Amino acid sequence: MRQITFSQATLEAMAEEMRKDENIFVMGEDIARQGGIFGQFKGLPAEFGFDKVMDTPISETAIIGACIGAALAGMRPVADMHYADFMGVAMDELFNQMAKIRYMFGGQTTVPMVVRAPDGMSSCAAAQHSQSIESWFMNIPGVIVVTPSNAADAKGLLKSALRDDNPVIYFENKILYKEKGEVPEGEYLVPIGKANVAREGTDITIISYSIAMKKAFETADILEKQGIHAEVIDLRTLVPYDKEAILQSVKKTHRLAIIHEAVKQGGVGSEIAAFVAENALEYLDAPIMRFGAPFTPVPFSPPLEKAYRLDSEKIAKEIQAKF
Amino acid sequence: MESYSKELLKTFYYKMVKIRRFEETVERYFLDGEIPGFVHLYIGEEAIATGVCASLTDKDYIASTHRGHGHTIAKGADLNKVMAEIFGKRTGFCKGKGGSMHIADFSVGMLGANGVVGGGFNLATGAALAIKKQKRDNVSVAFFGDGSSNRGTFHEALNMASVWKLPVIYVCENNQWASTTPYRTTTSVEDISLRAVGYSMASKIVDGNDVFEVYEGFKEALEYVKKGDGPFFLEAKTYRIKGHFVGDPEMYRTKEEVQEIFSNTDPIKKFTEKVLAEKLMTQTELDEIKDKVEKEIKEALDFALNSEYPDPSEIYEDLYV
Amino acid sequence: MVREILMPKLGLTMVEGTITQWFVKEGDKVNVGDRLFEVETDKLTNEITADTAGMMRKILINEGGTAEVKSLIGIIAGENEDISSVTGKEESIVEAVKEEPKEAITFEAEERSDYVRATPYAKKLAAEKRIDLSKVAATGYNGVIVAKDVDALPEEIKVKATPTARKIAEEKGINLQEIYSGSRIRTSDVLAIEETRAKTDDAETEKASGIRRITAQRMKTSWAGTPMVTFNLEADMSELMELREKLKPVYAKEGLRLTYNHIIMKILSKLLVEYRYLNASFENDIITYHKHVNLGVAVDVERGLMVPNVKGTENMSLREIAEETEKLIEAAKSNKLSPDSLSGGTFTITNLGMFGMESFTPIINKPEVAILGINKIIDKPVALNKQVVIRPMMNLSLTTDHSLVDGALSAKFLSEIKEMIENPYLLI
Repeated sequence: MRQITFSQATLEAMAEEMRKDENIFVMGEDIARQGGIFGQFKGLPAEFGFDKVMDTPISETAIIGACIGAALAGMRPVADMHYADFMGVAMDELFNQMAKIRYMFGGQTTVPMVVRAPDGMSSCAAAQHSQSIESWFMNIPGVIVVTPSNAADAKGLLKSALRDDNPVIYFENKILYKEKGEVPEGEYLVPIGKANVAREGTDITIISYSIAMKKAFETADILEKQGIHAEVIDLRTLVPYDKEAILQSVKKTHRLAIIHEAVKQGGVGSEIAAFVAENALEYLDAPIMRFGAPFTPVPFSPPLEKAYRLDSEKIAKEIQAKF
Repeated sequence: MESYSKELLKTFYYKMVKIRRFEETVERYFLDGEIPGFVHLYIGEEAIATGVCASLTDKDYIASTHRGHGHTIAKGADLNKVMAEIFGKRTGFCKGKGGSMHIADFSVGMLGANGVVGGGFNLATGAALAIKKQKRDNVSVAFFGDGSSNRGTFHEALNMASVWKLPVIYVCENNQWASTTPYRTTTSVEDISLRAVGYSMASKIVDGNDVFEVYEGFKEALEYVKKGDGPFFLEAKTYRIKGHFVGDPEMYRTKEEVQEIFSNTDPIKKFTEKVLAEKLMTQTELDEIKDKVEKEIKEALDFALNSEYPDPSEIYEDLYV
Repeated sequence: MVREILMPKLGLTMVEGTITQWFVKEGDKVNVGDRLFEVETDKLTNEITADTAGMMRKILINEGGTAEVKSLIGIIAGENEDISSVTGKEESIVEAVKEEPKEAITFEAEERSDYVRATPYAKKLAAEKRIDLSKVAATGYNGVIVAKDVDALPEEIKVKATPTARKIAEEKGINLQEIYSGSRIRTSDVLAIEETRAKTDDAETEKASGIRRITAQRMKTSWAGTPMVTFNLEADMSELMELREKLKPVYAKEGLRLTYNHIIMKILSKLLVEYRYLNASFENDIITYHKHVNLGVAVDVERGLMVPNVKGTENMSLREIAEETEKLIEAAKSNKLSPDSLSGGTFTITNLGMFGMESFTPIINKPEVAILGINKIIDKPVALNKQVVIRPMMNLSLTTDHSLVDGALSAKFLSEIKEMIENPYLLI
């Protein structure tokens, strides 16, 4: 099968859906003339013009707010957040308006829009350009949250998001942009809300998503050498997360580890762990383990940043210690 | 002053009285403990919503504020459903999930009241963006108060709308009170519309308690916007007669002060005196409208009171599509 | 001069080396050219010599240890030279490597000694297999029992037992596994275990049975609410014993065992008709004089004290009294007493003679007003006609309710009993 990058996969998804649906347009800072600071919009204005691919003022609040307004008036807008970190600037629009409009107005309307949020650590981008903030939105009813981990899912999930009538936050990891992966030609959708059993195993369930899936696979490889067969699950969608897939796997393997790049405390792993403890405690043969970042902002200096990152050797060692 | 058709004059009076009587009824039932939550009344500002919405169709949009009953009614929303929503009944516009601060009727282009001060600027701007993209001959209106012009959303929205020449009209209801704080103590300009200059935006100030002035000012704005020259800023000077919310102890002003202003500026009184003096309408015509409104209010009240509350099982409904 | 000895980079690809041997130890004098250590890489083994003279002050990587290229492995310096700048640096590096940046979470919760530490899944499996987790060896992390520890064990033998037996066993906390011998366990087996346990384990506490609670309540009420006086008087049993010896074989022919109790009951039946104050009840200021003599007999059964009464003894022959009394005692012991036989008593006797008692203070069975305690017959020297003779004597302990029965009346009644015991022919 052909191999394209994660970034190209998102571009394909955008172009295909924009050709199909003239209501889709995208706006954000530096996306049109520049093609996005990570090149993820390169070539899009050439085909669709600056009316459909719009450079905006540096006004995150207005970007999200205007997308909501346009969605209410029949469009299917896409907002690019430049860095996921800047979602904080537009938080009222995201959680008080976008997430709540359908519910608080009694289902009178829908807010079909996609917020694209490049997240995660790159190289020494420090505290305000490196964050993974997906867990915030697990606590906000009314939004869908997807987190692709590879090129194929990047395309399939973005296409599904663009067709969804709910507001969808699409977290795309900055390091993943250049990663190549097999992506089927033509129409390719990944359903929202369904996890992917990326590797089958019998001895422990490792749950992850986005960039941390790399660490999950690495960890599984190390464990495999020690005779521990890990099952690796890619959540793909965080809201709503695939409860059935999680329970099924844990009931099979009796062990659970969750890995994510985001801060461990109060992270997605906390929710998954609590969910499994509530619903399948009697199936657990070891404590649930969560692996994530330390409870600090992302530090700048290389050794500090290195210490901040997930280390699959360490993860495997800790998992092994519980066998 | 241009010549007004009898039909339009009747509409002005009908809408203003309807809003006034609605608010008075809500106030009474709120004080009686029949209405849950909290409510913000539009009394004294009826001429603005009436004068603006008189020129709008269901295909035009408005984004409202926490003080949104008047906008909703002026835009033509079903009175029964507005009342039922405020009472928290399942027959309300939002099935009891929104209440007074989140009333909306998308079928008439009313994009919702907003519990966040300054929450509507961008929604209206975005709706205007959609109108422009869809090449429709419509406009979008953001109602807002003097207080919310100090929010960042105001500035981001005005800049974006101006840069993109969007068909949006920002209608500032300068009622002189930011919640319980006099706007002059917190705002750098006397006229909020002065701020439009910073965004290269056309603007106009009108007497917000004179429905004719509002109507005419808004028509001018509408014509300007529809030419495609970009947004318009209309500042309507008014005064908030009631407290910030029902139950507000109003420590910041005296009753006498309010009463004096009201007796001089009450938009309904102003309108009545004018049409009678100039013989544009007869007392009988006015009384007939009043009676009609009374009947409608009573009907809305009965509807709300006799409606059922939502069932707890409905809590998970309407979250996702 | 302080010389930091670093792991040398021996060739382009070397990243780390293992020290296989030190030729010097800390404190040794070292000259230039002396062999210091041997280092092994994946490709070769090299000997490293000293390029500085001095003392081997510190060895940081011991034999067998591995170090990255350029990392500090030892220090040569003058004997008294300050090397803290080097060692300090080294320590801080070592520390930085050793100490994982980690949020420290320590729990020092006191643990229950009887708590079996097992994972939830291990517990689930153990429950399914009926395995006692306290007997399972833990091989899991931190000494926790994990699923495979339980998996390794065979399922415990399936115990066959009747449903009732199972239920009782569960209630009493008896482990059926422990008593199972291959044949179906019945209720009686479980009860037998329970009984043995009750006898052997005197520290065990249990909730009192219904009978015990009722008995306790009655005794307390009687004791607290009644001014009781106990009168003691010895009776010479010679004649009564003789009478019994003569009648015994006659009764035996009919399968009846005649006891002293029966004869004394006969005596009481006769006397109580005359002593209406003693064949009475006293409750709420109301005196009830009973028409019939219903004689209660205190019977000690396993579950507590039972006092069935023989009804209408005033009209019964000795044989009938004996027959009825034995029936009731039998019924009491086999738990087959009718509720009727437990109510309506008018006077009670209680016999502790078989336990060797010589005197005691019986407690009245309310609402009756008197109870007669029978003691052991003891051969005693007594003065008879100014001569000391040995006589079979028995003490009678009569408790009466002083609120109704005066002392004199009690004494008179008791002395009449004595008289009739000493001259049973008066019964005729």
